[in-house]
Amino acid sequence: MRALRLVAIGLGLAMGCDDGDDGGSAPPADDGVDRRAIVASLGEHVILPTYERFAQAATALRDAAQAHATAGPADAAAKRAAAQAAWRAAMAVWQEAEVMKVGPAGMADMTVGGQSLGDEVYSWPNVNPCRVDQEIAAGRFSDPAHFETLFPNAYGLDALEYVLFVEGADNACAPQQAPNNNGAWAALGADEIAKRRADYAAVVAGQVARDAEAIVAAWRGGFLASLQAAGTSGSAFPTARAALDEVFAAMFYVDLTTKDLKLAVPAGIAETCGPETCPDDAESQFAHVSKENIAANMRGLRAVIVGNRPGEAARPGFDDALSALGAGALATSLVADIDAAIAAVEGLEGTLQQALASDPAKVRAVHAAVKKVTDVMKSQMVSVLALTLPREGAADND
Amino acid sequence: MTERLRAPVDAAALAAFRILFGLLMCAGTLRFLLSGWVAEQYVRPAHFFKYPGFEWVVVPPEPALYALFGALAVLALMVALGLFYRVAIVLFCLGFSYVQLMDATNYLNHYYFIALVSFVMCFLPLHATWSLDARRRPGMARPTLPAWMLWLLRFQVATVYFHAALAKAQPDWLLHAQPLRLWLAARTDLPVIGPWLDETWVAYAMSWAGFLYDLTIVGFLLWRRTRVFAYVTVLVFHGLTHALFDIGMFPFIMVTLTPVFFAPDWPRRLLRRPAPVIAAAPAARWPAVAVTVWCVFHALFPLRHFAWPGDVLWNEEGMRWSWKVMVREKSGSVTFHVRSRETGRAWQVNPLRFLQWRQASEMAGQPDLIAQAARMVAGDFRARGFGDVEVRAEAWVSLNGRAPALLVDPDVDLSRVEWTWAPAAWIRPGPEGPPLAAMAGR
Repeated sequence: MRALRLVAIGLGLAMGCDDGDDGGSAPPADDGVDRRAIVASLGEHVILPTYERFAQAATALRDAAQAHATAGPADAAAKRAAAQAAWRAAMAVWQEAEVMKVGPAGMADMTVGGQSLGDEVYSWPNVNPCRVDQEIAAGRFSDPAHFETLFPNAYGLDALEYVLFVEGADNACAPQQAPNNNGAWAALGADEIAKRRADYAAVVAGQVARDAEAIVAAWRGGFLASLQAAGTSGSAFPTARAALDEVFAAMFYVDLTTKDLKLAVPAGIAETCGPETCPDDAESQFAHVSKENIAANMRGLRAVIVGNRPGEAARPGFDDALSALGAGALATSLVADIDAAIAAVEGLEGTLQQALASDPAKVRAVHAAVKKVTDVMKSQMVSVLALTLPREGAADND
Repeated sequence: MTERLRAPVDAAALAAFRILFGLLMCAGTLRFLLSGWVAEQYVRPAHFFKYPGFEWVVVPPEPALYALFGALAVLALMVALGLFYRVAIVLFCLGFSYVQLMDATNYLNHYYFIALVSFVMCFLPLHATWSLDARRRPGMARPTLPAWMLWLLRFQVATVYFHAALAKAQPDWLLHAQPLRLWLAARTDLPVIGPWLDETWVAYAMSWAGFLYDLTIVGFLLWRRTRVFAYVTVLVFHGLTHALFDIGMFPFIMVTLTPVFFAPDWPRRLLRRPAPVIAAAPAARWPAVAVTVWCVFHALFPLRHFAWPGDVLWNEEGMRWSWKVMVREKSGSVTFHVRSRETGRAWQVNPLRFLQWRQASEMAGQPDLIAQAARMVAGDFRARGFGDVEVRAEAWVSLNGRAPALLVDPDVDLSRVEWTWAPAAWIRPGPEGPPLAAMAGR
């Protein structure tokens, strides 16, 4: 009987020690690696402020786009230029936020608290200027609710880039596609096309501003609190470690998108590029800010790693956790590698497309610099911080 | 010795082993199904890693997969009940082993253990008592079984502990308390024990305790005077490993099956059932040669890495099927460099483009899987009309927190490499120096 009791106690102990629940009363980690403090600080001082900055920029973009849509012939060019500048400013912030898509901006089925709002704001590489032209030709866009029936590639910052920066009155669709095969586009005329593009920009910019506000509202309305309370009852994150994993997963945008799509494909490093280089596959085809976008991605990554932006007060970040665990050299070299990657991309002459034409080796060097960062993220950083790779999934080990 | 092995012993312990094993396997299979791991591990991946010699094993279509797992749960329950036991255990062994052979990135020591135990059980009449078969066919019921059957199962469990201890007898584990220091420092948010887990001395204490536990626990379980203390230790040890690590069913398996070291009549005494008349049972013949060959093989096979140069934790040559349980933390980043033999054009391939995250993560630290992935990439490029290509791997791997080092020779065309038992010259030597050692603060 005693042995049976022991079995029962053992199984009970094992079942009771559920590693996914620290019951709300757990003390904060005490090893100099207070994961909860790190994610709380990153949420409050890095990620939310980035979304707040984006919301401000999106509001300015909305106002500029509306001014552009209502401009008369005399100031149309100036208002368009102002809208383009506002778009560039908003995009510069959004590209930093791309590596921080935790919570509401994250994909609904992949992130804790995800509402897929990030994809609503900017869906690259899922972009389709032809779909935008089809909507413009159809003229059904005045009702913002109409966009709820469309895929994200018909609106967001990517669609805005197209309608604000594209030159001429041609459309992006093939001759056999609408609005070319039904004559709808030809019937519009150059002036009407320009007007509709401006109107479309105003509606889409309004939608982007609302999405930006929705992200901020969701953060302020509970997600930040949930992140700060990670590992306690009431938080969506069962442990602080799970919250840190979520932030880490968002950082992999730099590996899969910045490195592999924004750089490897146009630079001809990926086999999906047939010719030696593929500038037409670069990210920003109309505003030509691909280079700036990559630099902004790396700056966003730097902010998350360090815990603050340059010039701001020092706050806890991944580098502090690494240092506390005896990997200070790794933290230092990682930040230096990120700075080197930023310097490499900013050192490209002209636009990314121009650099691909004039000196593709330099673009490949940028790819190598970014890869150096992601190699460390996926190896020693994962080990030292005992992080989980994104979408690795729950599974047993031994 | 032979007489003692042939001598009849109470079959109750063996029946209990069968019942507990069957229930555990049934629960484990249902857990696997309910966790969505069938889809995650076998439906979503587009590519699977093969074991040498088992390239013919294919992953069945999704409905058949679910049917297979459902059948395994039912078969496990039949084993527990002792219902058509012989058929059930053979089918369970075959089905379970087949599942394990479908993708090498899913290898786990305890899955291998289950496959081995179920294989051994195919040859043992563990339904001789306390089974529905015995109730259906009273003629086959026997209250005793030869002692060698009990000792064979004890050997199987003891092998795990003994080799797990040997695997810990290396500098990273004993002198640097790694990888436990890395793992424990990440669990400081656990209730009660959490605040202590970043203490250096705790990591050392747990490293040495784990080593000594694995080395001695079988002896203490076998010795009647220390048995209760030893089993309490089993409960605490495996309770801790369950709480600290994502180690799945392993703690439950060991907690449930270690009573095999108790006296053969322990279940009968526990349940206050009358003891069988052992003296009346004749000594049985036993397959001495087969059992000896089996035991010698399983005692020596896990040691094969000593025959190869280098650190097994780094080169992984002899890592699988050798009970090196939770002894290394390995993370890596692999990039495949592809070059057309015809045009000289070069590309880079991120394995995440064709593997699942979990598969890519497992592959990154295992050279033979990296070579296999290189062959997948070569085949994929050929299939897409790129012609003949060379595939090299740039694999930056961190072992136990060390700075990343290249695991395989980046100049070797891995698409031409085939697996052999010989040491692989294309695996680079492991990094010099200790693992990440200096933990700040304490």
